[in-house]
Amino acid sequence: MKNSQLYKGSLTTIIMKLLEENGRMYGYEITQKVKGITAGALNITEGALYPALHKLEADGHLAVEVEKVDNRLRKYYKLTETGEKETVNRLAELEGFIKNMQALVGSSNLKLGY
Amino acid sequence: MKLTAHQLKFIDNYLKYSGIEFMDIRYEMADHIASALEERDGDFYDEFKDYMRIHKAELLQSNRKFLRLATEKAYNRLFANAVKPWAIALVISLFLLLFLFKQYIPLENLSEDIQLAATVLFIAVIGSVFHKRLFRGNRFSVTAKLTSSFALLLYVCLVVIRVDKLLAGTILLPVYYTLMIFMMIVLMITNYQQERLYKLKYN
Repeated sequence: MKNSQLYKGSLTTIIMKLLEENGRMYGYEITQKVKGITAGALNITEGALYPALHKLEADGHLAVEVEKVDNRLRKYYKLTETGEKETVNRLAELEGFIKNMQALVGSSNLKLGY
Repeated sequence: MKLTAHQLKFIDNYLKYSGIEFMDIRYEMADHIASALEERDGDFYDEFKDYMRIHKAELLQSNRKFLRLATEKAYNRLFANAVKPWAIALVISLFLLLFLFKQYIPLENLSEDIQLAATVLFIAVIGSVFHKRLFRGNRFSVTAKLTSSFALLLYVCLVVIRVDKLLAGTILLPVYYTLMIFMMIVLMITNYQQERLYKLKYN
């Protein structure tokens, strides 16, 4: 994943949004989906993805289904009922954040310089 | 390329010998690696080597975080069981039983027998852990954390500190035995429930 706190802070929301749209997904599928949507600009690494998925599962936001696919076990994640509610809250929060940032960055009073 | 059963086994063994010992994380990582390799063309071993060169550090980092979460999960499940109505009834019954028992036979007289029983139990627990390690049985994270907590509790309280000797002759001795027996029962029940969950999920 891009080494940016902005992306890291939004990772769980990205995962939950994808699961909301796709029903259930497995780890590798999530990384590929994100890569595809962002045209390769955002690459989620294993070190970021799995801890986020496991934390969401431990918090009760995700449920797990294990299936045998192509001679190996595959773990699918899907949103639980609380996970669905949490997704709505997090997306609203993220939208508010983006709106505020756009207002700030677009404001003529704010000059960003390094 | 489509991976063969032998190649999948190779990935699993590689992860196992790289320190990813628990089945519940290893199979997920193995599937991730296999899915990535299946999108590549070329020699399996060359592609695997190339993949691990880039991603191994990330996988090990993910494993470390998973272990921390497994410990947290084990203690949360233990606590959830310890505050259930049956557990509270058990702790009260155990205390009353031991308190009544103390009127007829001083608990201090049983100290050496309890010590011996605890040592045998400790050896059995450690033996089962080593048996699984030696014979490469599938080990799961939360049950492993519960078993190690169980062994540590037994070893520290009954073998190293000898709390029974410190509390001999006081009212705290039956309280101590009550809590020890209670903790062991709750640990065993939680471990059993977790084992069943794993069997349902992975078998």
